[in-house]
Amino acid sequence: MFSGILAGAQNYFSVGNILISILGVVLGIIVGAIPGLGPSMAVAVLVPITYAMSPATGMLLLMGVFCGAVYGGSITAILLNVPGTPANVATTWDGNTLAKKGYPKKALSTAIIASFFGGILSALALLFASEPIAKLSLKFGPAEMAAMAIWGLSIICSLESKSLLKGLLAAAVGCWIATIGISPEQGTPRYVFGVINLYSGINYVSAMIGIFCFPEIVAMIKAVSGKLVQFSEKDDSIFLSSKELRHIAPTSLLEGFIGTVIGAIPGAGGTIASFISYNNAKSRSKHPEEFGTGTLRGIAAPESSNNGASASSLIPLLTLGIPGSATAAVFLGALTIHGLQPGPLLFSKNPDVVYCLLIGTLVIQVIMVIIGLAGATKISIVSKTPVGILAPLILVFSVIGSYATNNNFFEIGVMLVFGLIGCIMVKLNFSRAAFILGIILGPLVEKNVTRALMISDGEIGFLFSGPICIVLYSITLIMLLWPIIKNIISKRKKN
Amino acid sequence: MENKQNCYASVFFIVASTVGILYTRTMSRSAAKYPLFLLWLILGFSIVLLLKSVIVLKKEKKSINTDNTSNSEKKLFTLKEFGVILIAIVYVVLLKLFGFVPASAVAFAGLAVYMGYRKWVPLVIITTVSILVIYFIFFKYLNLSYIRGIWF
Repeated sequence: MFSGILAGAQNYFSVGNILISILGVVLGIIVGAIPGLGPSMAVAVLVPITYAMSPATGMLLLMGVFCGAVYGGSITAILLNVPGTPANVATTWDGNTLAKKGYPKKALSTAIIASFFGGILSALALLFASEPIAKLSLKFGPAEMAAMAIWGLSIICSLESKSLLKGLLAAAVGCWIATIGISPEQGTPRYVFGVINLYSGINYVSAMIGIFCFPEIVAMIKAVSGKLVQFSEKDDSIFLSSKELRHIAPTSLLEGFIGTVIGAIPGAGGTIASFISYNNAKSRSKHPEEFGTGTLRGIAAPESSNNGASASSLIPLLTLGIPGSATAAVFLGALTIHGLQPGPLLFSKNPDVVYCLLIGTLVIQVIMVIIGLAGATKISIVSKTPVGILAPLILVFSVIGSYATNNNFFEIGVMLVFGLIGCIMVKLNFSRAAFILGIILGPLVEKNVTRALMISDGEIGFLFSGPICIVLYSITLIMLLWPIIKNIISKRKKN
Repeated sequence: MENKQNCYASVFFIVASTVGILYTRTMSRSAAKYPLFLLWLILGFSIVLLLKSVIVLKKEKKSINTDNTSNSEKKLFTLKEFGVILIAIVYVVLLKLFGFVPASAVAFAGLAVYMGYRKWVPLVIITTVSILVIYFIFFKYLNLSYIRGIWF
């Protein structure tokens, strides 16, 4: 392994490869910032460009784009309350709040530093711990995946402490909307009403764009003096103080680790990881009430987690040949085009290419943090842009992003309908996050519960058997009950 | 105000989920299991929300003197917000009729003016440059698909 790492490092550290990595990161950040385009689209679009490159250089470009796109989504999440990808939804809660308070640069730099921590952990896992993590990911069967999706859904209880009932209602409606389409068990159409485009269900990316972008555009009509936020540049800085760094470092490291493990599980991904990590950070915090008010940990947790999940999502692909996410599937295509066969023999047959990619992933995190910090000063100017320019731009990019999901005009209609639903939800104080969580995680629950029951011939106990299920359900239960237990303990202390 | 809105919302969900349950029962049993479970959940949550809101409203009625909320707060959307929604709907219709570039140019300029941006020369320049940059970077260079219209 160490000779492979040396060969990889020798292969990587050339001017061409470093420049390609920088280009990849910049392109990725730009594309990732646009709602709906996302990492998988960004990587897919650039695969043809890698034809003319050597395998190692081509893979480095795609990896740079992938990591950049995952971070890029946090920029619009923080500045405009519009998540670039579903994995950045949790970042909006504290990121946009902090930006509106007059600290957009601090919010952006927290996101990039936390992403750096998560990305480094993920890259190190890819480099040194691929095999054990891949073995662990194989132990996740349908029952375990259902348990993980239920864990993800349970965070609604922690997020919606003020109106838990409305949060649960929104999540249930989201889960129900996700049943539109073909049933996983028998392939029977549900709620399609003869509309052909509904047979494939509601695309959650188009729904997410509508739910989050549209209400922001509508809300901009009320912007005072035609700008999103007025802030004093004297107070805001891209540089975090040592106290602030010490404040976010433990959270970033722990949630980055959690994201790395979750990302390696096929089918899990950065979205679940970011929600779970946000909830985890909030539960562990001494001041959970600060989450949602612009706390730095509220930004660090989901960002380090979703970036941690990015590189580690390639672990099952590189070690076992199993693409665990849409982006990994695109990488599989790219590797095949370059004559590389992912799987157990990849590391022994092509060590120079593979280790070059893995070393490059580490360096890409450093490149990303430098570009992110340098760009934060310029990017934060978005908050000063007149809403008359910002609103139409967001609307146009929403159309581009939703159309790009399926190359189908129907998706723009979906975006518009969910946009109207989002506006109504904002007015009636229903949680959009819980709703989107339901749309994303609901199908995971149904699909995996159905599979688990098929495997066990209908025995429900199978869903709760196995050490991983027991651990996940225990964590879910603890997280659900912890606020109540904490309340009882604090009341007893007062008495 | 919020409790009244909660009442309306919960009545809507009660009616919708009841209709949904009746419709879902016509599906095959295996396909209907999970959606039925969710619809019953929605019905249950809505009934609890309705009861909770009604109880709180009754308590509030005793302590509220006069309702001083302005007319704009009572409506779901203000006229201005409705205008933005209308512009977005018109944009989508124009997309279907004329394609991305012309429709986006018109919608961009129209929404900017509606949002209060009145600097005409910068508006024309920004609209033209933005649409052209988007067109060349995303559709020509990156080969993303877009809705084609009469000209391009």
